[in-house]
Amino acid sequence: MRDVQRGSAAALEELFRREWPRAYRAAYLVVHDAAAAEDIAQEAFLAAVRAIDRFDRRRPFGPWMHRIVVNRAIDVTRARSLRREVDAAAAETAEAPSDPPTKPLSDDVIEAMAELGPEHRAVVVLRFVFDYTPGEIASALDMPRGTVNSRLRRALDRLSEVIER
Amino acid sequence: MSTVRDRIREQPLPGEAEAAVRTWPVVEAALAERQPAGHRRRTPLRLAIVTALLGLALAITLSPAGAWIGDRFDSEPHPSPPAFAALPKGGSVLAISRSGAYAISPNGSTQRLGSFSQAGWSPHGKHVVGVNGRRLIAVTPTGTVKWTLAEPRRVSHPAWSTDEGFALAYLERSSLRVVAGDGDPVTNRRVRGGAAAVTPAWLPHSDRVLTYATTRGTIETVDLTTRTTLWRTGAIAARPRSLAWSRNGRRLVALTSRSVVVVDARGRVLRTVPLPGAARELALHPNGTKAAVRVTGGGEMRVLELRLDAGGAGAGPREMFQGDVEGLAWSQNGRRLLIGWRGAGQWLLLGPGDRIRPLHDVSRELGTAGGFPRVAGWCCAG
Repeated sequence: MRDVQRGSAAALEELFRREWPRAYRAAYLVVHDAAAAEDIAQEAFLAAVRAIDRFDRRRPFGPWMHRIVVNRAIDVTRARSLRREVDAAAAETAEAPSDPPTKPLSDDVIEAMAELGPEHRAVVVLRFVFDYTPGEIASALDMPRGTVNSRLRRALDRLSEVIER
Repeated sequence: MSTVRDRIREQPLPGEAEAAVRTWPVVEAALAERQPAGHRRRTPLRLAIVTALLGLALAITLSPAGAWIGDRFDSEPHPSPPAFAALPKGGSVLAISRSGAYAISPNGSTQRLGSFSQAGWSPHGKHVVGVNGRRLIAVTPTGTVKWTLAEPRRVSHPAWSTDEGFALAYLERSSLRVVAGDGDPVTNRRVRGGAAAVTPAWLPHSDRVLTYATTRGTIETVDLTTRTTLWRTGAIAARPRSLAWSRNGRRLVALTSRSVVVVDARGRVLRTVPLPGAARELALHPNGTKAAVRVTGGGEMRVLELRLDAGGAGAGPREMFQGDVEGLAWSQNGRRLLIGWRGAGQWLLLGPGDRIRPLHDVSRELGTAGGFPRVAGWCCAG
């Protein structure tokens, strides 16, 4: 991180190579749209670079970035849900249909993730993609630890059902 | 539960490798822009990084999981959505590049309007007026020429009056001229001489009161019906570079090289807000209480948000973005600022809460021969 702050492109590249796959994966698993996932992950990296001079090196970079990605992905998913409701209400006057979402993957677990609400998806992502503890998830998503545990339990039950079919 | 965990962590996802290849140059450019000049990387290192990244992308594509991705892309291509599809619905953007002016719809479609060096929307976005040498040319957003007006000398800085757009002001060299919105040459007349090279500003809800900057460094407002001067400021310390009326017509904002000057409807200077650098461009927020200003200083270019109302004038500027920016435009409701980020080849939508939405690779959308397209206006978007 110190080298990145000094302007080292090589250090930034190392950071990018390490963090990009998980950032993209986290965003994708919450929004289930490749274009949106790319935007979200890119926004997070740009935000990181812009704020790099102010970054406290004593704190780990990853969790800071993950938090940006996951919270932004939740916002995007909520906004899309709201937009779909508005679009449905205004379907008769709509100028053009919205773009279809990216076709989901055939993997049943990934598809099952799409059936969960965005907050449930975010909990799963933070637990299984980033290996956060429930306490850390509660802090990142600003919700009670008990809520994290219950959401994680329900999400895993649902995903297990899919796998056992 | 390890099966679920493993599949969530390892299942190949569409677009990941391609997205990494597209994103890295943007992230790298962002780092390069924030570096002091003396710390810029040497070319060999840059080449090594690009090579390594291409190798990474290739490795991912050729690996078993990557082969799966490749197969999927071969059989079911996922073309990138048009860059401009990220624009909010309801309005259109005007862009100018070396290859001409373009109207861009939020569905991503683009229409070349002509070889214009400057251009501006009519109030409701039904027409665009463009400048080509000695000619003013009015076209529809679909590119149909409605009228042209040729002057003996070079014209510049056109501005359509607000509301119904019944009149259009422009400069012919240093003469301020006005013509009816339908281009009728009979209505074309010279209003004043000694006009500075600054786009005139129409008083909102009026097609007869016009404000312009003089070559003496003053700001003057004229009534076109009576041909009288309504008010005139004293010489502004640094000459105005741009003028903008707030939508309610209660304040005029002038950008100078080092400050933003706020003038009331009678021409009295209310306040002068100093800028921490050389000013390049200003976009007044629709509610008139703040402005986005592009400044350069200390080897950096930044977009700042300035509070212009009495309560916020002392708050100091807030940095909205740092980078090689050109072109600023607020959405109609003032919720978003559209900026051109030349350094990354992108346009960015800056939204509430410092949210940023990039519009990728805009140069390619309009033809790379034209270079980076400058945001020249955003009409009627929500």
